[in-house]
Amino acid sequence: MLKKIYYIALVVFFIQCTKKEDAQPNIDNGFVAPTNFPAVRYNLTENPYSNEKRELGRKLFYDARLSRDNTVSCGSCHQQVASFAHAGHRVSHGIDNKLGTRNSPALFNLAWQPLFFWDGGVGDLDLFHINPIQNPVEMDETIPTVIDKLKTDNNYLALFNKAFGTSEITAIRFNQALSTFLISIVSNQSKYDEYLAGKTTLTSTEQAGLDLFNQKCASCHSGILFTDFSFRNNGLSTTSDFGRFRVSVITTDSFKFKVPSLRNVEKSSPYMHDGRFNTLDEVLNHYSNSVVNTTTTLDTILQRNNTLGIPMTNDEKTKIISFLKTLTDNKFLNDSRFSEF
Amino acid sequence: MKKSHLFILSIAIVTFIASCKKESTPEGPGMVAMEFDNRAGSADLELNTTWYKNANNDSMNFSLFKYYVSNFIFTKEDGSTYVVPKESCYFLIDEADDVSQTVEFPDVPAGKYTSVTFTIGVDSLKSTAPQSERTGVLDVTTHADMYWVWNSGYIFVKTEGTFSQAAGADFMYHVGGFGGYSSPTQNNLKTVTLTFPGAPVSFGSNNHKHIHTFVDALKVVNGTTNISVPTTPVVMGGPNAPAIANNYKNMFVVDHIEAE
Repeated sequence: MLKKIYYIALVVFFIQCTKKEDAQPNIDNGFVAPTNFPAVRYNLTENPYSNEKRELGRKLFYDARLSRDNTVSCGSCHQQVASFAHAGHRVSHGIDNKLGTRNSPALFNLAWQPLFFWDGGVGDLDLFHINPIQNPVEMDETIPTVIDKLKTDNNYLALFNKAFGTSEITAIRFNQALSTFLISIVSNQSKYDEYLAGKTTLTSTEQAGLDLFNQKCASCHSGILFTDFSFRNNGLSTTSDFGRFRVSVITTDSFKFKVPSLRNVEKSSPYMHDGRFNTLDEVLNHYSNSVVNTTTTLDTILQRNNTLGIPMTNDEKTKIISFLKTLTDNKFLNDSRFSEF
Repeated sequence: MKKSHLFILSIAIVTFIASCKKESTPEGPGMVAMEFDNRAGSADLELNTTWYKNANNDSMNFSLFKYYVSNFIFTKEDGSTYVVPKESCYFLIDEADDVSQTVEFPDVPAGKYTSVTFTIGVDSLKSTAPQSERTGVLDVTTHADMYWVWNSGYIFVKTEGTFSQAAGADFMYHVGGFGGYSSPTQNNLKTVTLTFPGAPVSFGSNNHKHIHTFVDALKVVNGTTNISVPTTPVVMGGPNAPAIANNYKNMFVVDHIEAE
């Protein structure tokens, strides 16, 4: 009898363990970083994490009242189905259908990101949100007006009260709630992650793709986050957008843009800072055939052995893309904690 | 005892007590006010109404002149210093706001001082501090006109106006750049030291002082690089900003110090 009880207890214990693992990313009991991720960069001491703040932030993220005419929300250009990029949009249209100049980036694992925007112009996530809100081609609104709008909504007064202890709505609280939601969007449950955890195996094509990826792509798209967060000129034909130079005013930064993470890259088309490529085939074809050296800042990795770009056969490209698709995290793409409704 | 002896003794006692008193209560810290009196060359700066000539002989009519000064340090004649506490060392001087033009340091220890050192702009530590530590003049919400959101950082010196009666002849010089977060960006922070005329000057509880500082707005465009305003009317950060910062670092001079 006692043996039986022990046995049942053991089984229950295991089920619970499994359940806990399935619940990753663990964002319901404080912000628990995945063990194989680097140190969190977001300042959790300044803005302690809570589910209440996350919920408030989620509501704000999907609230069009953040824009001047109440038509554009953060979620308008950052769709969960597209890993919070803007599906099918080279650049996004904001208020009054005005177009921006750069591709709306995917949003996930922001707690580990040192600098925001394609040019890294913002270094504190809390000070990021003011940008799309004030930008005349995005939401064209001011923070004080947004705060005034929110103050007229009893639901928000209650949510701020739950999140911060009083119903006072301030710019700092507004920013912190949005940041809390954004850092909660963790993507670490792709097939590749399960492969790393020994829970699944890669197909032979995917495995070959991983090996090729490590040889040809991982110098920049490095580590568990699949980016080294550096700014690089990847040999695109140049436009009037000087990239990182606009922020740093250092000549050698001209035409450099942030290396994006490749997690969920299957879902975050179109690609590049200006969204010029629609498919991963086009992206790899650029690296193999179309890298141009019209500036002095082309990355040295793309001009090895007097050859421009990264040599890849069609077969190799197929395998690399097959591997890249193992970085798609369907749990994150469908996680209701990040959804509008 | 002779009367004369008694007299000498009493004088000695009085002197003794007086000297004791002096030693037991040395002069305490005093108020030092510093006025930033904005000028254009040798004339007082008048916004919107008056035309001035820069070194390049361009006409300039200023509509706005604002700048951050921070991290004040007073140096004594023996080389020791008084560092103004962090929580009260950031100021935004605005030509359109008289009150902003005099800043006060209420607790400067008594002593003989020779110079004041300060930063033009907002240092990198404060520029990257959490929003909750940026109150008052550093609140990026209420002073949004002095903050670049797309390239996070304060505008250190901002001046605008016109260089001709013709329409659209506007000049705008906005300079910021604290050096960046984790990846370097342009750094236009400047630290200046102003020597006091007639130094050393006594500060302390018995010596409240008023430092009258002249700030020459024309030195935004005059200096090592004389800017042609019609040729380069707009600088908002970017490649021309360092030249302007190198010019305006010389725009401050202590004209005189008087009793407060």
